[in-house]
Amino acid sequence: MSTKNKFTGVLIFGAAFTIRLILFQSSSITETLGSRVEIVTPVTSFTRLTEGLYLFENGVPPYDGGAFHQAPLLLAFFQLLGYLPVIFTKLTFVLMDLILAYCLMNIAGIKQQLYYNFPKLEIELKDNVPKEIDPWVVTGFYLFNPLTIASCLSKSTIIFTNLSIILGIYYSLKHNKSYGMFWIAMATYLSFYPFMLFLPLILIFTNNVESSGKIIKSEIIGCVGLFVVWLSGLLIFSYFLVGSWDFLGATYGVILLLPDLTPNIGLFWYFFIEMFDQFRSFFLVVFQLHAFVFMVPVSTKFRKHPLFSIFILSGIMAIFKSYPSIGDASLYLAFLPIYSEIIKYMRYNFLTTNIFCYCSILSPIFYHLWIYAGSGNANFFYAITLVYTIGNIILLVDATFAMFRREFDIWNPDLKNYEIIQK
Amino acid sequence: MSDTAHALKRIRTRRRLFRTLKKWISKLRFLLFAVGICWLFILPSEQYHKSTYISENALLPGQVNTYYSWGQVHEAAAFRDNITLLSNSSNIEKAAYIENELRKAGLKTAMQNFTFNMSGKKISGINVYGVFKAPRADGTEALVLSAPWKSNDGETINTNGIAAALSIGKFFKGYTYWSKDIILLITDGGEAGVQAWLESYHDHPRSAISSTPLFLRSGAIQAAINLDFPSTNDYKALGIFFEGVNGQLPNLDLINTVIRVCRSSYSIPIMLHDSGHHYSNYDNGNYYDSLHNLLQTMRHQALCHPTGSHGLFFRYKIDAITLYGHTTAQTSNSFSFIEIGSIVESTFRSLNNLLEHLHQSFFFYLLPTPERYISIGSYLPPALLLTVGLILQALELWGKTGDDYAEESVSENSQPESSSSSKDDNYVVPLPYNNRQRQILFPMTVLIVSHFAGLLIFFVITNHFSYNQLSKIFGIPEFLFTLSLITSISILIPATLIQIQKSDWMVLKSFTLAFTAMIMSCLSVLNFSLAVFSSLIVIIPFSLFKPTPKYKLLQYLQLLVLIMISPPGILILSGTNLEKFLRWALMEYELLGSYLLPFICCFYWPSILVYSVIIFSDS
Repeated sequence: MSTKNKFTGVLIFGAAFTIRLILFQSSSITETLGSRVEIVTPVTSFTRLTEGLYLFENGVPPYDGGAFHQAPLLLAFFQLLGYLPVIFTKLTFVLMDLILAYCLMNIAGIKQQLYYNFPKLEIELKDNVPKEIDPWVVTGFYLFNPLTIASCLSKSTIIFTNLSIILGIYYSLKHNKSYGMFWIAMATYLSFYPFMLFLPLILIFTNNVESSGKIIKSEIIGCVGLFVVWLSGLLIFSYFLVGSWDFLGATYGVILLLPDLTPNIGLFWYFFIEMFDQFRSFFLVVFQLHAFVFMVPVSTKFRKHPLFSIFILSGIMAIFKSYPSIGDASLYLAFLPIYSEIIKYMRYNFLTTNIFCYCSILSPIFYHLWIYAGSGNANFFYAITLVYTIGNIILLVDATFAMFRREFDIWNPDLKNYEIIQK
Repeated sequence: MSDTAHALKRIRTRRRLFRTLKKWISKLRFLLFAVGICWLFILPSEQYHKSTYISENALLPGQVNTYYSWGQVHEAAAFRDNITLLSNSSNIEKAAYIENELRKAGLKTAMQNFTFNMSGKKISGINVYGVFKAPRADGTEALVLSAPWKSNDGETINTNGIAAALSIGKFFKGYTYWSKDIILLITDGGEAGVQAWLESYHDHPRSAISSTPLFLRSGAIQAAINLDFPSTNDYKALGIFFEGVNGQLPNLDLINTVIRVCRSSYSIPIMLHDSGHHYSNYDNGNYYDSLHNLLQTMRHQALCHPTGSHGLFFRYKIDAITLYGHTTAQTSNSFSFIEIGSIVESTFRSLNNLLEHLHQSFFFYLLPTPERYISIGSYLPPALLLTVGLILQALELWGKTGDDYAEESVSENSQPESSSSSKDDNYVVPLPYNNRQRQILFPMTVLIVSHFAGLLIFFVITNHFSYNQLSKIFGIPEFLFTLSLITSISILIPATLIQIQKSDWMVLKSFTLAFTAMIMSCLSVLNFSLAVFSSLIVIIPFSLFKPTPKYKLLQYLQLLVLIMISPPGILILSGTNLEKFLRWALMEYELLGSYLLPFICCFYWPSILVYSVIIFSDS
């Protein structure tokens, strides 16, 4: 690593660290952010974690109150943190963001090496060497994304899931099957939906080996076995931690069955407030299946680019999961600069940027009109969550289109000046 | 084959559409501005608004017999005389008198002392209030009848208002049909008194008022009527004030109820605010009266200023209006205690019927006449049209900065060979990746620096008056000097630090336009009037101004216009006393939580600063 690189790194991480630490000093900012429905959800709220922790420390089963819906390991982790001064809790959140960003940088580097020999467009080459985005840009884009900063300051525990996902990808790309599977099992254990990313991660492993049926088969079996072992290990450990299986219903049960209808930026809450009870279970199945249904097609379509399918799938997760927050969006947006080569093909950048800006201003305004001013109603806020969802979907569709179009141009260089439409 | 033909046709149509749009977009923009502005001026004409109606069935306005009669009027007259005598006494004596009267009427009473220090100015006073516990309910809901000591103008004593409130309170006590507690509130010290009482009642301190806690409470307040009947004369017309802090409005049903009550029993002319046409029965006025009323409302809303004590209740989700006695209107009718009392009685009987919070009717409306309304569906589109024009221009500029390079390269490549196949040339699409790389570092820096400068200005203003000692040395001229220093530095930094490239200003302008459009359209749902006024001011300059290095004069002319539309420019042009305005805006911000000052400093001013960078960045 050259000195210039080192300097950039120190600058980016230093600035990100300082900004977060300074903003953490103002309790009014962290409290406001920590109570915004766009940022924290019932399954990631730090306030609820504190409640659960209090019950846990006082010998009451933490899941009894019905307010706490997070994994038991988090309880243990924060109980340990509790022995340290308060500042360490804040530092934990800041450091997690920084570690995540560091891993992202490595992921970008590994991705560039992996695809070094892949065919490229003329314009992407300079003296036959691919022009690649500097991995520091990826880091900077993640660390200075306002969504990331807000999510970090709110002490939303989504950061643990995000970090596990990124670590899972990182170790998988480094061919470390055991760690890769451990972290993805951890992410699944923490918030269930990352299970979707299991398939692309397997593809990372199978893409690496020379294609012979037997080896691929044993790779897959190895991955599945490790995943199952790690996940059940985590669950059994949790059982010993809290002394009962109650946590299954209180965490995964809540994520899947949606008993808590606190507003968030997702699509579920309004729909299930309006729902007649007799249809509830049917639509619950439909909604949850809808999130998972993309797993196989996206992974198979982009089987040569598992990292790209991780990008798309984590985007889908951020839109269609039952309790989404902007923390989820910050994770999948971080993958976009890794695939910087497709950005030139994306057609709706102006639109999506505008939609994100409008949503981030209008959602607090409409929430205010609904809850505080009383002159609006729930429809106002739900309308904005719909717009936010549409913005995310446009971004994902646009990215997918750009990926396809780039592939097409690589294999058909003579057609690059033509417009292509799908019939 | 037909599929291919179909696809070709689709491409062709799409391209034609795109080309036409590109060609017409600049004209479309001005069309949108024109339509938006015309639409605003069409709003007051009678075809474009509808008659109001009572939406909440439980209200049944004007359906009860009122019992407020001459006996109560005599009492009210006695109160009036006593209050007139007290007019020169201290706060304590006044408060003691009111409390004594309320207690004699059989109400539970309490007092509240409060002081508010701001900007070297101290406001203090004593609120008195009495609670009449409803005989038919458990005290979970309440209605407020309030009267401030000072009338709307801040000088005249609200003699008749307080007298009427006292007599009404005493009179209400005699009946058993009340199902909501009634709170009689006499506030002191203008808006600070109401704010202090509301904060303590809800135990939710927001401003820096220090006040004694309230030990006498009732339930959740459902609605409030504020009486403002200055001096001791008879009144010619009943004025209705309804705008609150930050342009918030009460539920339209509350206004409708009061007007229905007036119409059903008395022929009192009604007016909106305290000027303009007074409306009798079946009179809808003409276009200019409606325009006058709309402009009044919009002015009050745009200043984010409550038009009376009622305006402070909205922040606690309480609907409220002020009834104002107007003395100088040219009408043959006149009215006094008997009408005031009956109107209030009948209104309270209607509100007493409420089963839930007022929610049925509109919260977003404009009133051209007391009995006609313009709903949000009719008045919001013009504000949005104005901003859509800005967005279109931003989009156009964004496209321009990206694709002119591509066009060049395509034409270079294709011209030598395209003589024979000029038709095919139509199908050559500029490569998506031939788009020029846009430099966003410069625009982002300018935007961030100027908004940071705005924050700094806001910080300087909010702290300017607090340091008493400092403010004596640090007078208004120096203060202005600091502000101008901040602004010029904020302009200079980005201009000198970053090498400006050709057409960078286009990206910057595109960003600024998109940002302004976003702020204006988002503001229009919060405070329509402020959004409309500020977009009317900035739209034409913002869409026309650009660097003209060849014509220096034009450049300086543009700068002059920008200075004129910047906040200090507007204030100086309108002949406002700068210090007075600052004090006023600061108090509104600190006491009432008005967002006029933050808006001006953090959004409006910075966008003008950005423009002064744009016109001086060479193209």
